[in-house]
Amino acid sequence: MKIRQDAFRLPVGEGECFCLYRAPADRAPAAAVLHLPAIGDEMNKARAMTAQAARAFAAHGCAVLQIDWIGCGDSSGEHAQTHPLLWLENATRALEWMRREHGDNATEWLWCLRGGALLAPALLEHAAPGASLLLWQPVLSGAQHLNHMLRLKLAGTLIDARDNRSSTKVLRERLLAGEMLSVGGYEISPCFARELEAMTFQIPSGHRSRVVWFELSASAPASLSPAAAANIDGARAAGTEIISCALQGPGFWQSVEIEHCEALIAESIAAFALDLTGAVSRNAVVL
Amino acid sequence: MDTRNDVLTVLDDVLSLKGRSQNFPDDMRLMNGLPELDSMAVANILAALEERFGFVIDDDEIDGSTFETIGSLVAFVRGKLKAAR
Repeated sequence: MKIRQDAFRLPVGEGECFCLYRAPADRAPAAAVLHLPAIGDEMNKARAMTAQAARAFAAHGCAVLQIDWIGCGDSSGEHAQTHPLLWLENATRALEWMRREHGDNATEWLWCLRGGALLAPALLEHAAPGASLLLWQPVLSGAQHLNHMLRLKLAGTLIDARDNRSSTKVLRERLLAGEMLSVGGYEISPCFARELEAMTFQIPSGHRSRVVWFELSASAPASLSPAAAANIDGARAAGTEIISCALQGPGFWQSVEIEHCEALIAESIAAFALDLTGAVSRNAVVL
Repeated sequence: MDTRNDVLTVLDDVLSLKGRSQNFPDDMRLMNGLPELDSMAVANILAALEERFGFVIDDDEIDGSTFETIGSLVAFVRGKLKAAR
């Protein structure tokens, strides 16, 4: 299948977001997929893998939009000014752009990697009701995620004697008192910290669209983490159908070398395909 | 839930041990015993444990003894899970 590929700058509230768009060149896509990237350094490390996946999804009939939030990656603005509520606005503009491009015929998907999943509940509530979810190793707690970022700053002192070390608690207090912090080369603002800390991922009660949940583990046999399993059980009890699977593969969002996981891409395409078949049969009824 | 196995999986994933951790005995030394375990790895292991088990580890709860052996790390995680219940 021939793929159309465009790089462009999407005007949003506070600047322009760098976007990469891939879609079938010779037919209307059956699925419109918005990627919600991982946060901070995880996004950079995952870039090669997400680009490869986006190309593969497009080659299988999906339109895929990848966006860098304001202050992140190749978009305008500085990281010191970026914060999660801004990303929700950016994502909303991106969804509107995709709808203008495709109308309402394509099934909407939010393809969430790691911390990107923390944006999904708010998007499902407002900007993308009814969207399906493709989850790649979703982060479930923003507070935990912030803690991880702060802990990396402290890595050298974690196992020192208790007296001469700082703690993530102290760093958090400094942030919440209004101080900017530099963590692994990223300037983090009090606003960024407060908003991230308040975010959690859970599937909204009553969600009826498809949910596909993947976790990766380097060891075999891979198994879902107890935390994910508990979250999934809760959503299933509330009536949501979820396909969940633990695959063997590298944590490409955190590895020092660039890593790929072909199985994750193939399984994701299989999940889209279930929907594409549905779309084809719906079209057939209309015709 | 096999906590010991979950802890070994985390070690294997974070330190890229390629399955070696499955043969680690409880008295196997981590700190000063496993060359892959540097300070950045400790931070990443704590993060991975938090994500996998869904609890929060306060910095005050850990010190050198937590990462002394496989047994001490598994005992620490079991203690956290018990406290969360």
